[in-house]
Amino acid sequence: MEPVLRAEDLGVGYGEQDVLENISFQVYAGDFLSVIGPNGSGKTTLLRALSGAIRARTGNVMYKGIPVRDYSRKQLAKSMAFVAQEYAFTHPMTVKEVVLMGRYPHLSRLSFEGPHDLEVARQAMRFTDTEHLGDRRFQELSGGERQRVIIARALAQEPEIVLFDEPTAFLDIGHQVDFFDLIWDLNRNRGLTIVAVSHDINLAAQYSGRMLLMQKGRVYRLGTVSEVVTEDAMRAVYGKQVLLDLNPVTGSPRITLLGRNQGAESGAVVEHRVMPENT
Amino acid sequence: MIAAKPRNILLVCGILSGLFCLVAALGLASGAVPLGFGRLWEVLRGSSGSAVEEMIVLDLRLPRVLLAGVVGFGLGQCGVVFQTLLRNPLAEPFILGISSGSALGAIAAIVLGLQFPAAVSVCAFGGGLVTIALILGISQGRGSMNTTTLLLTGVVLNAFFYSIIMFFVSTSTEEKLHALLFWLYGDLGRSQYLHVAAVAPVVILGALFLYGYAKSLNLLAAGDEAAHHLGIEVEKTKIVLFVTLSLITGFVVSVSGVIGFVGLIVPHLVRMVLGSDHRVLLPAAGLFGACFLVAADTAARVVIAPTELPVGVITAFLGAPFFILVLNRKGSGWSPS
Repeated sequence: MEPVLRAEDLGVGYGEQDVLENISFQVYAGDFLSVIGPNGSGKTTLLRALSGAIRARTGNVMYKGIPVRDYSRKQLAKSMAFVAQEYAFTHPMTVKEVVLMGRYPHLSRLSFEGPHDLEVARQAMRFTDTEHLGDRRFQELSGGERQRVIIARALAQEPEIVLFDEPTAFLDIGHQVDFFDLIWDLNRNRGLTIVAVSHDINLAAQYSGRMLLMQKGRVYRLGTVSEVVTEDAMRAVYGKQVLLDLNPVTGSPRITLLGRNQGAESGAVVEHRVMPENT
Repeated sequence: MIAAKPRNILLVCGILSGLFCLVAALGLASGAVPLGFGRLWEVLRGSSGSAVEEMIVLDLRLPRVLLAGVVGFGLGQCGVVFQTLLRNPLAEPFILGISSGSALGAIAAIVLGLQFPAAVSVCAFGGGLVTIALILGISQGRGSMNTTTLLLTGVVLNAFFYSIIMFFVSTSTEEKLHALLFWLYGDLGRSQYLHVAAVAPVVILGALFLYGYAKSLNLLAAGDEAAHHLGIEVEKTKIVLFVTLSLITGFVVSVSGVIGFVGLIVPHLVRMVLGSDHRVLLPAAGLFGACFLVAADTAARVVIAPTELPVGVITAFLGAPFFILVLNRKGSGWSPS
């Protein structure tokens, strides 16, 4: 099967500094890939390079077999959406106006949103539970509401793939779970391909299909959740002792970080560990 | 707030065009020789039988009203686009120093005696373009400009350009002096049909061109990164728009001198009533700018009649307090930058 998105020996740098080196991986249609790694490991840079927002210094990003830089922005925005951490609107705008922005790539220069565009926007708002916010000002919403509106805008683009850049960074834990439920639903029931940078390893492990662990601008490990979230990988990348067990409900690997004085060096940790074969 | 639908946009344009006709009629009737509206109508139809009144209305007032309309239209639209592109509610050609950059270009053309066609307008355009390049260089392509940087940049550029302008003024001959002073404050007192013919095509074509970017501007207001991901070629769009703005500002300044604050007052008032969608905002700010400047110029002609004030005096008198108001206004919906 032809991958939807493919990084081929991708390297990215700002000025003298190389931020990404030798990155190669594939994303297939219907994937839910979480990108994890410490701060400064290049997660966000990778996501921006995948979207064509920054140029590759070496290698290529291929989207549906064509280098991403060969797409016009408008062409790309018809099937790829990007949800960032923060949004800086200068003008006051209503939620409906914000969501309708997602129709831009489908409209010609002088045309107005037609009934079809309004319907697509309405469905996106229904799906993200933002329909009731339509006439409110975007600036007046809570963090969780804004997040959902921005996802609605991304859905209004009618994308096949959505890239999320640490979308839960400013949400409380309840809204973080809501967010993951929502994108899981998009992935499962709408067949959307998802690449999400996440700083919460446990939530990412709970929801995603595959994971990409980054370290210092390189891929440390890529594979299924249980291949990536292992004690040795976590220790090697984060430089911390971890306790690894399984989430009793979902069965996904779960980590607990241990501080310097929390018996990480003693055997106690090993005894408490619930190993996959014991469950 | 008003939804950006073709019907609503036409309605807004219709109402504002009506307002313009009203203000223009007032402008044609007022002055050192006041006329009633009935009398004005007779003069316009050529049935007044008074050559003097016809001369006053058709040769003096009408070109002036038309020029004020065109200049106000251009400045109002430039204000809207500058504010969105620089992501700052105070951005405006005069405050940024672009108007004085254009004025300097025009003055240089006169002093150096450049003779090629439309030399003054072309040099004014060049002056505006160079100024915009300087502003963007100073803000270092960060995409947004915080208010302090923006204001300081404008103050410094204005001071610098004025020093060069004053140098030209000090060293120029008596007969050129009056032509030069005209640039320092905006004045529509020398309006001729020739000026209207020179600047109207640029402002009208510029407006149509900008309108093609109305939706792009909506997205740019959501931030460069968001605009990029929603399908805008951000850098290219900005360059095209900045060049268009310097063209409009340059031509406008070359016939009217430096008229400040129109590009600040007009977009804010329009945005307050109609919302932020550029598909409504752009034509509305243009038309309301036209109304505003015709009204201001009419006031300039009558407040101490028979002596006339330069219209720049009126706009600055209204604009400066308005500027402070916007500067201090909390919760205007503009995100702090």
